[in-house]
Amino acid sequence: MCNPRAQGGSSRRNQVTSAGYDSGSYGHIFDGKPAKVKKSGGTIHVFYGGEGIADGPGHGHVKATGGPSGENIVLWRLPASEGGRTIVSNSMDEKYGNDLNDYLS
Amino acid sequence: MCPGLLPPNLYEARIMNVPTTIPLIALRAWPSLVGAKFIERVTTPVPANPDTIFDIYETKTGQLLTFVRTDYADPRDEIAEFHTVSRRYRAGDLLKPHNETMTITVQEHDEMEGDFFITDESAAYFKVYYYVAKTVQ
Repeated sequence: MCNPRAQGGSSRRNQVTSAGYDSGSYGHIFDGKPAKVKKSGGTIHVFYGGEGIADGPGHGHVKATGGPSGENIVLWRLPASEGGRTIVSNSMDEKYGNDLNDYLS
Repeated sequence: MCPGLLPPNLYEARIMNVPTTIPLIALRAWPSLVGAKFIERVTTPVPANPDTIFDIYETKTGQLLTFVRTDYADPRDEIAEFHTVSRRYRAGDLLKPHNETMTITVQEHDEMEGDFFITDESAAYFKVYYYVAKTVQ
């Protein structure tokens, strides 16, 4: 069984490859499910609820922008286990959405 | 071993399972992709199952174009990721769908109009966005 926490994820330190690519950190919980968080420039990605691993097959995807901790959720796609619907999709006209920190721990 | 930690060769083998065929609605939006030759697929190692895929094509006239499939079109963020992973290619301005003689400069998400992409509601289990970027080697 794949257990990212057993591979250093519990420290929440981001994994940086030898090529310098920051692949984010496991060990988070989002909406009650194991999550991986990755910062990319001014954007924060949360991958959660995947099969076997947070960002595995059927994972949900949340993308947030604004401020140091991503105040505005611009995309929220549910995991396949919850139907896979996209419940938030900022279509270039909504600039203020849900606060990521209301759901992420 | 976790999928996110797969060695590059296995990771690349898995993402190659996603067809490189360009959907018909995208060919209608960017006719220069018709008959284009597939060159290379680039994607980031996170998430373990990619949300964004960059397929590089060479058109019949020799122009390089990157066809982007993503679950949320944010080209500034996505192209920055592309440049982090790809050592060989640089993506630039976007080609406007259904009028590809016009180009669109990539800006911050909030600064962009919603006229640089098309969407495909039938793909997979969520809406997929397509856009095309001029590319140089």
